[in-house]
Amino acid sequence: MKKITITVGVSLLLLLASCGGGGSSASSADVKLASPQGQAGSMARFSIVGDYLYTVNENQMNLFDISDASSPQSLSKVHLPWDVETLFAYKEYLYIGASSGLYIYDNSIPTQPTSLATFTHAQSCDPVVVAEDIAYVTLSSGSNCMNNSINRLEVINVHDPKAPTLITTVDMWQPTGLGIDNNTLFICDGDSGLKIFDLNHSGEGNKTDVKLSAIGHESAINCYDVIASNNHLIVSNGKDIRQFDYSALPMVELGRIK
Amino acid sequence: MVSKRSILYAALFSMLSFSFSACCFDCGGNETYHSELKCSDYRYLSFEELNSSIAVVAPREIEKAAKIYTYGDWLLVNERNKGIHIIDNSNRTNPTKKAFIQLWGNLDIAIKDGYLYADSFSDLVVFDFRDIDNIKVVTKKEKVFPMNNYQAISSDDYSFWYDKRCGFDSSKGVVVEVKK
Repeated sequence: MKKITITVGVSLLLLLASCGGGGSSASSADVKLASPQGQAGSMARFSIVGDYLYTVNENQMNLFDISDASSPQSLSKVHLPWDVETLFAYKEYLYIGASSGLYIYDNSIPTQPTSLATFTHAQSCDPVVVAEDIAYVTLSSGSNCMNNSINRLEVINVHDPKAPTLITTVDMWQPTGLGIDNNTLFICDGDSGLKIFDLNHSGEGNKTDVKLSAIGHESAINCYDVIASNNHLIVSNGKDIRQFDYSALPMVELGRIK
Repeated sequence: MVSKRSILYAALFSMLSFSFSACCFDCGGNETYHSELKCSDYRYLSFEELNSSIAVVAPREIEKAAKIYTYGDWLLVNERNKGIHIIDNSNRTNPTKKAFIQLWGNLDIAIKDGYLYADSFSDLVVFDFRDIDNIKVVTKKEKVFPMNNYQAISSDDYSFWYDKRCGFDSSKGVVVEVKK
């Protein structure tokens, strides 16, 4: 749907450009308007769903009505556990990564997020991303000063968001950001580098299952956050941003931004 | 005569001092032992100065890339606690940095319909992002998020300690960075 919107927008733009005879400086703004909202990396604490902006910070979730995008209106605040770190919107649910666990909120009434389930685990948690009813959470010993040694990926069946169940775990070095594009999962794993997994889905409903196979390991990429979309990978990597094309592995580096 | 209570206070105080000297570091990996820093190493801004410091300035080098965000052909990179790099990524093999939004205390960004939402300490700042050559603040909602005046130094709130030691006033301002 989004692709169609963009295509229509771009075609309109081309049409306008051909009629108007130039004016390239104006085109960039029009392209931007073709897509209503952007894409965040998994470390985000801001998330836009329709006309609402959700933010999480320490122990509260703020809601803003942004139906007038230039003038957000504060709505209610929702009390959360004290250690909230990331926010990911998926279907009509909000997935909140906190150091005590994964919190799932029902967001079917956008102004009234209500707690559905908590998937608790050892103290230490960073971001969560969700695709095809499966949540991927990285737990890292580097987060929140929790002095533990747990570093792993947890793969959780959230087909029934009221009853999340663990599918499997994968040991990691010190993971942070992660991103999914179709059947490819990217994980920033600290000094160990960027790890790439193929996701092989099976089963359905409460038997939703996935098998992960390691298909790539870029040990020279020490990333913090990552965005993967349409064979295009962007990672924040300390002093620079690096971009890759992963239409075939090993990935091809497109360049760096310093 | 030394009372039991004063001994208890002394013990508590030394435990506190010890825990500060041992534990005051940024969990993001930038370990900074504050005992090695002078008060002049901290850049303190009053809330008035913080408010007037929001500016769109020339592109600059990325120091420490944190969160990233894409919007069409635009790539936004959060410089932790300092602001936002605005990058034209329409040519991915040759992206161009177009501007830097100086926004102290910024950690998060999101965009809808050409408006950029960004936090700055406890404030939510909205920028009109529709014309890249004329990015400007359109709304500022103050004190909507939990405040940590010292978030640029530490993930925890040691306000009373910095206030006492360095004469900062966390009711009137924030520390925006630790100078190198």
